[in-house]
Amino acid sequence: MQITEAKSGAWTVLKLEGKIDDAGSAELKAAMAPHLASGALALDFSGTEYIASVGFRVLMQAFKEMHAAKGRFVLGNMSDSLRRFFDIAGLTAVFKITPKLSDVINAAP
Amino acid sequence: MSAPLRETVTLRNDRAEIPRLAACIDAFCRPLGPDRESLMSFHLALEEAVTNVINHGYVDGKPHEFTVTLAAGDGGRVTAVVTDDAPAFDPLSHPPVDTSLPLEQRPIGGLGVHLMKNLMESVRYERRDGRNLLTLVWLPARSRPA
Repeated sequence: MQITEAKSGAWTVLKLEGKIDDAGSAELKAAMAPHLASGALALDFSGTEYIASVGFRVLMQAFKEMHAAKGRFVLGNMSDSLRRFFDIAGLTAVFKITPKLSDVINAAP
Repeated sequence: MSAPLRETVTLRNDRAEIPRLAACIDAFCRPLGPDRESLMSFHLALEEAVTNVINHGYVDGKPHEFTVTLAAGDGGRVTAVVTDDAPAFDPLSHPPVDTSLPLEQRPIGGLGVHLMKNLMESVRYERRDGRNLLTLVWLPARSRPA
C-alpha cells in the first residue's frame, strides 16, 4: 500500500491507499510508530476498501498507545463498505471515526 | 460468457501467495456479477482463512502446498474449500469475540475468525483423511440481475 504523510496544524495525517492486508498492516504500523508518543494522528481511509484482522490489530495497538500517551487519534473518510467492516469487528464504538476528517482537523485548536 | 463452475488453485505456505489468490477470486467471481462490497467481504473472509493456514498451519517451517477450491452453484452461492495437510486445527474452536468489551479486555486473537463468521453465510470445519477442510459459503449480493 501507499502511505502519504502530511501535516495540518497540530495533526499528522496519513493518507492510506491500497489494501491493509498482512504487508499493508506492517507498513501502516511503521508509518504510525513515530507519531504514537503524543500529539495528534489522523488516518485518511479514502483510498482503501480492504482491512484484514491484522490491520485491525495494528490499529487497536496504536489506539492503546495513543490513549496511554493522552494523544489524539482519529480515523476518517471511510467508504460505507469499509465502515461496515469496522462495525462487524466491533470497533466503531472504540475508535473515534468521523465521516469527514477535515471537520475534526480544522476544528481542533 | 459463462463462468467456470469450479476451480482449484494450489498455493504455497508463503504470504506472497495472497495476491495470486486475490486475482483468482476476482477472475472466478466477477462473471457472477456480485456488487463490489459483497465481493470485498468474500475476499476478506477467504484471505483470512488462507492467511491462517500460511501463518499458523505448518509448524515445521518447511515449504508446503495446499489448495483452495471455488465452486459456484446452489442459488448463486459460491463455496470455497481450503484444504491443507497441516496438523489438525479447528479455527472455529476459538472462543467468540465479545465486541462489547472495552479494548483493554479483548483477547488478541480470534478477530479473523469473527470476521469470517459474520461476513459469510456459513463457515464449517472438518478433519477428513488427515486434512483440515474449512468451507466458506458466500451468498453474493448482486449489483445487477443475474
